[in-house]
Amino acid sequence: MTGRGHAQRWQRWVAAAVCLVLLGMLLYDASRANVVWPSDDMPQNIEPHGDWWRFYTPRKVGADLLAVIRVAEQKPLFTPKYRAIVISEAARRATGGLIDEMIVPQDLYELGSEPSRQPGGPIQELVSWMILERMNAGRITYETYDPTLTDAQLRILEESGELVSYPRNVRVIDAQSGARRWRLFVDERKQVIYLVPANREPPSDGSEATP
Amino acid sequence: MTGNVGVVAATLVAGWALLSPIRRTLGAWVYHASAVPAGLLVWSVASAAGTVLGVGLGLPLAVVTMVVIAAVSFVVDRWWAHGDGMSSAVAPAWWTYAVAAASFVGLAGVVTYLGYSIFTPDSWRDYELFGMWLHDTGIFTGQIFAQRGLSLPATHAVGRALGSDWTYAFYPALGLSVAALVANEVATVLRPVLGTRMRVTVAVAVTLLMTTTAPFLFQSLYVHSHMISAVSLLMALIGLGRAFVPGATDRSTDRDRWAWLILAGLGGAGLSLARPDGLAYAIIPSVLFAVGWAGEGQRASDIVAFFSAFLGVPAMALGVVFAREGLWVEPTRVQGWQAAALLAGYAALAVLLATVSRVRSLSRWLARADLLAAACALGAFGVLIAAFAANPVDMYMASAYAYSNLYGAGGYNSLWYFAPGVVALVVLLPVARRTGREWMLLLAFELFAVTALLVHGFTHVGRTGWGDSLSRVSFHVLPLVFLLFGIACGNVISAFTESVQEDDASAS
Repeated sequence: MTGRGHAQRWQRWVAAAVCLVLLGMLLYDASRANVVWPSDDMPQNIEPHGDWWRFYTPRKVGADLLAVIRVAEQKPLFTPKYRAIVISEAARRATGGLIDEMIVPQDLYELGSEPSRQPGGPIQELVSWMILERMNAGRITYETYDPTLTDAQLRILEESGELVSYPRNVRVIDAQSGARRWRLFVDERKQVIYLVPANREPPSDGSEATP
Repeated sequence: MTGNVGVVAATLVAGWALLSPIRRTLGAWVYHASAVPAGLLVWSVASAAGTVLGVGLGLPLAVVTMVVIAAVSFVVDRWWAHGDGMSSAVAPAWWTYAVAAASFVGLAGVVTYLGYSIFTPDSWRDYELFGMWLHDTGIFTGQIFAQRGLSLPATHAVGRALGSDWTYAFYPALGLSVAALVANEVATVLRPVLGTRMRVTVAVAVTLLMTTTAPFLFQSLYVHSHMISAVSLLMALIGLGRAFVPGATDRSTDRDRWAWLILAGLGGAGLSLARPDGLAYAIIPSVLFAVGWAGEGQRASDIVAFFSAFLGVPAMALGVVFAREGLWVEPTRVQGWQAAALLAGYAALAVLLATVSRVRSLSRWLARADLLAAACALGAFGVLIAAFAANPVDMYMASAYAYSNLYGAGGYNSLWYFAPGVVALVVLLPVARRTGREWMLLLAFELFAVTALLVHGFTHVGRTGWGDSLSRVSFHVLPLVFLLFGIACGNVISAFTESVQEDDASAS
């Protein structure tokens, strides 16, 4: 055999060996990922397989944005966004599509706030104006009004049977009135946000809700 | 359910319409596999039109855009099919459409039935909600591009128009496109060196290995920009390889070559609109085009074919934004002037190539494609060195985070040991590079690595964890790594086959 032929043969065998090593690496990887199949227990199955999967496993949420929000990463940082998404989605569902207008307090802090997580940082509002704007085609009107509903007013609303509950402490007065304009209110403890049709005044204390 | 399946079906049909003039050259496999990613460009056009008309990206606008594109494609197709220099290739048979539709729509149906998706805040806060915005208002803004590009928000808008509240089933469809393109390309590139059975075996094996890696499965379900970026880059490289690599198949006429260059250009467009930094990564197909073009005839018509397909939709979409709001300013994101400068830079490259090809001395030097490729490789390395010198702290931090993520926290398992192994195999052992396609992939890897480090070193250096941008972006190049691995394995097998034949011949 010539020197060149010998070199070529040597090269073939080295290349084949390298290919096999690389193939082995892939097969090893595949053996670690082969439990990832669409089944009900998939998240549990794949969680032990390292950081890649630990926090973001496939979730069975279907085509429902609210289901996504229910199971999405639970970080306080995202709370205002989650709430704004639920508020907007609730309004869209009650309206049957894009709303005409959503009236919100000029100062969104009035719907709830929490101290900054950083010392000396600004107070954080609990509803994201950015998401409200994005999800409602910018049809947000900022007005100065008192958004607080008293316990008595809320009791009347509860008794009306028109309240529909959504995740993240959001409730809608869904009287199937075809309302397209909404106004945001909040309870005295600033925990639950209420969407009320804008053409409908909240009930006054001790009286019946206006029809 | 209907929205998620519907958006895949509609995107497939839109892609068929867009690619129909070049379908004969692409062949059934590439044509159908590229249709879904190409269809996303149609929704980007619809979004640009909606911004001009002030119409939401709902069903009427989506349908009208599809019809207009189909009509234009029909006219181009008539000219293409009957003009001079027509390829002898035949159009894909009707049943291939049925198989493609069954595959993509069927996969979307299965995924929708199972209801699984993977999402992070980027997914629900930006892709879905920007899609909602585009659906409601039709207004494509600089903020949308700066944060998430255009093609995915536009596709989410179409999904919403079709009734989906959360659009996720077309991400696995994009994964299917990647798998189909890699399998077909491995089998096609190996045609000169291996028999049918062996090259199909290699192609299927490599594709199966790729699709069973954790990152591939993850990105197939992840509502984000990575699978569309990967398939766009793959389309671009496949198109350029078929058009320019000597010995590649299906390049018998000018129109065949243009067809592949149009596919490459559409891949570049897809890359540009998939993510805000996609415009920077589009330098990869641009440089590879320049190198391939310089060595293969330096025809002006090739420049027109590639750059018109590449820059047409991005220039239209971004032009609309520039006209509406000027050069946007978006803190910590891609700025309007940066996007404009990149677009202008690519257009300038086209003009530069057309100009230098007319200067005989330069043209002759450029014709040495191997030297030009080496110059580009060295140039890219030089740029990287200069970046480290100019911005050492951030570049070092970006590199350190990249290292810690790719080799640990990023969840890639062995893949970033595998990838350099494949590169070393092909660079060090000539027996593993016999098809002529390898240099293009190697240069693409280098350009990708340099671009990724520059983008992150000069914008956001990153963090430790799989969610780091550079860690996720690195996925875009992995299908090309598997493509190169398949080609290298085929080359090595063919070397053994030849040696057996030589031994037989000498024995007889």
